[in-house]
Amino acid sequence: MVHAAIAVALSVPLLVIVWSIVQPSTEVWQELWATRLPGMIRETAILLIMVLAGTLVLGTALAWLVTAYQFPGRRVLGWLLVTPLAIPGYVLGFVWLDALQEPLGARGVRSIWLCALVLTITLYPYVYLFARAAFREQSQRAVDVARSLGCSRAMAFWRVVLPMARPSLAAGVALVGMEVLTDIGTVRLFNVSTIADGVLRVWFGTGNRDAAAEFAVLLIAVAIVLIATERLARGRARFTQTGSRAGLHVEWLYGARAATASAIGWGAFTIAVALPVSRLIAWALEARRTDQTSTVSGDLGFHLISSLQVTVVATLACLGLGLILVAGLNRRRASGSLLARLATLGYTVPGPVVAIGVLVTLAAVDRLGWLPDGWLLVGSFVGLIYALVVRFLAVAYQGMEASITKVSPSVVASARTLGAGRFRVATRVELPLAGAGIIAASALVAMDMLKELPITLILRPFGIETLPIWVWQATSESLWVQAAVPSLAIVAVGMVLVAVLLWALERGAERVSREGRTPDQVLQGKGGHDRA
Amino acid sequence: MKGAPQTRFCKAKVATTVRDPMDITRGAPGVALSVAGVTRHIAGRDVVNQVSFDVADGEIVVIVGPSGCGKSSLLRAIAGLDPIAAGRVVLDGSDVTSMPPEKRRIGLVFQDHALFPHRRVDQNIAFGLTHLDWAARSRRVGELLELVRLPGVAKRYPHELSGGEQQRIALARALAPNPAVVLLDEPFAGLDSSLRDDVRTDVIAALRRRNAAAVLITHDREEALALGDRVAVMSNGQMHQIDSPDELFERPSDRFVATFLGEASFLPDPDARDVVMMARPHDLTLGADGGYDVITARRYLGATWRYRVQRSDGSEVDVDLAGGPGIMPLEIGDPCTVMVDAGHPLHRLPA
Repeated sequence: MVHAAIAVALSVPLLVIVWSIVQPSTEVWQELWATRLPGMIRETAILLIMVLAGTLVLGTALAWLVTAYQFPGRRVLGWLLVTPLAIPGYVLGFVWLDALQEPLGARGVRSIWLCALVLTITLYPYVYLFARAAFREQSQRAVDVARSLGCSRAMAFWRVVLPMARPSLAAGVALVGMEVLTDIGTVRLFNVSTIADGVLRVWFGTGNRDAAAEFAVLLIAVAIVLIATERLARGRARFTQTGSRAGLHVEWLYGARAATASAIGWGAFTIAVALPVSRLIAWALEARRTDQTSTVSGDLGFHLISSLQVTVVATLACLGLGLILVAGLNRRRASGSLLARLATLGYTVPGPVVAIGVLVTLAAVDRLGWLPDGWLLVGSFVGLIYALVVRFLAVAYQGMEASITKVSPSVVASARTLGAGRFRVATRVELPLAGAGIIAASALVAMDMLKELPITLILRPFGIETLPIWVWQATSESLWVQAAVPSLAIVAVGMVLVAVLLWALERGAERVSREGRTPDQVLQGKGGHDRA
Repeated sequence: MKGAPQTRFCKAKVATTVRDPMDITRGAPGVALSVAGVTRHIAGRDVVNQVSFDVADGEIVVIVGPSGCGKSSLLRAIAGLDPIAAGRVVLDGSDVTSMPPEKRRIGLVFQDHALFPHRRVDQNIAFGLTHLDWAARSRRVGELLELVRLPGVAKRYPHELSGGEQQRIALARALAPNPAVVLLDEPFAGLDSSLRDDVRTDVIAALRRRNAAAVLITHDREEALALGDRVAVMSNGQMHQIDSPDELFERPSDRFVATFLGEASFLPDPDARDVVMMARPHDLTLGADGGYDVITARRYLGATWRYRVQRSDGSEVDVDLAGGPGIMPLEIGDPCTVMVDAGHPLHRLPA
């Protein structure tokens, strides 16, 4: 019962959007179709292709560098290369915008190319994490056999190692695709008009819910194409090997080659993290000197508390609901999995769409007048959290599901025969064993909440002004110095979350290798639609 | 009577370890693989120490030894997957010591079969056939599926096959490019015991039909004796002896080989101090009418009873006596006398 209620509550906003297409054709829609829409679709497609290709190459190459080779600084780099995850695209974007304004000119700098470059640099860690897990999981045996069959080391990489990592790479790239589709902050900075940007413009420009909703259907369509492509790419093949998990042999690099490897890794880190952060720090100091460290709503503390409130409450809500759904899965496999699928639909739907869907749904509930006088869901904190949960529950759920269902049935059976009840098994056996996976999932969810812009922008109640909103407002007026303060705060909190994530992944990988499970499963938290 | 085994022992020694690494007749007819003085260090330890042996065309040599004895390291060295510190590897008459694995013409089969999970069976088998055109390739794939008696699985994925089928496909893939020698690393260890015999028979039959030279590694002594044309025993990185299975079992060169391949007791030789006589349990019998030896344990093996006897000089020996209806077994604590009842002179080896 509870599961069904959760599933219904979380899927309604999306069904509302899909429903809107049944009675379509407002004038806004027609006008857009005649004027700007074809351009938006084209720009979205170009941006998507460039970023997908870019993150695929960069993420895979860096992951291979730190898994297959041993050189000074490899271990530290292995972690540091994940940290761009803590810097949202809209932050990295304005830092670069400013840096390149001089050489490229004010107009030249706002191009789709630079936008793609910035998104590639901030989003490659998704591909990197998945690729690294996939490479770590592979066994040297397959490479040995390939070499005995006439492949050189390089050919073995292209014919065996890379194809076997394909599903993980596809999952990582699909995630990147969802982020690109959802992004509004970065594209706005570079004057790239994507579909998501269009949804937002229709909403803020006309206030026409139905037109915005219809527009949103387009985004869902692109997302579905993206996911279907990923599924199709896999077909019937399997990609996991049985048998020993000896791991790939690591090649030691010396001299010039070691220096080159180090230089590539540190170079990527410098461009993606070190330079932008030092620039932000310089700006933040300037902001302090010129007293620009607050907005009309409040100072840094106020905005930080807003952000933390949203992040913590929404993350806890996701974890709680996720646990209930996983428990339902354990009891009744078929219906439980269907309900869970329904409840986590939101992850395949871009943020602006979720926001509009939730808004339409909440407005309808408000009209029913079930709540006491003067209470409205639209524009309330509850409404905002509701929308965030609709969007991100999948991240938490998949992580928990992967870790909890992978606890060996014989371990659970042993616990039961030793006299432990269902509850004791859950708290003393399953949760501790799945702990690392759940922590990793929480860190990922929290990261998403912290950086979230479109949903917060549309649904935030009075008195909640998160850090991203501040960045958004400052950057839309090109006030980089002002934007630096909240940006730095986001990056700081984000780094803490990245540290938690990495710690959990390492711990999970350790425990997993002890139990003969694959490290990839720990990562599945972010692998939303990777799982059938 | 005493002289014959002594010579035997010396001959084995000469044939295996005392050999000049440079003394390889290049292109010796009928020799598929020649390993001479191969040595491998890992972390300052000799995991493979001065190992030499030949494999003739169409011959199956089984290397057996306890786990960690260096047999897998030896195999990887032959395949060129790991560097060697000294020695030479000659394949089909050409020295491949400094060649990378992809140039060596070696087939590899692992315990976990290491099939490529993302490729169909036919694509797995065709992996090493890039030099052939499409038609020749598919003809060869068909031939090999025929050879391992699995026609009709070409379009399946590895995970859709049983463990035994996977292992046979792994063999087909290794044989496809006509390697000079096939190296099999514990190929049957991962299989269910019920499957193992059938897969073993099929794999060996396929190797025989192709007349392929093979080196097979195992830790299972019964498997070694059953499958090898010749069997080599390794421990601590050294090859103790390489010989036909019966020769190895009946005339081991040292105590390690004797006990590794089966139960063996060692009796002092009355004529020489530095030599002992090896007695398998069925070579001995017990005089039950008293004596100075004492039965300390017994085990029922079905056809026989195996007794452990403490001899008056403190040494222990195992003795098999026939069991069956009407035969009263001896009891623990019974006094008895150990006697040789072999029907042949006992094999002598160094003490």
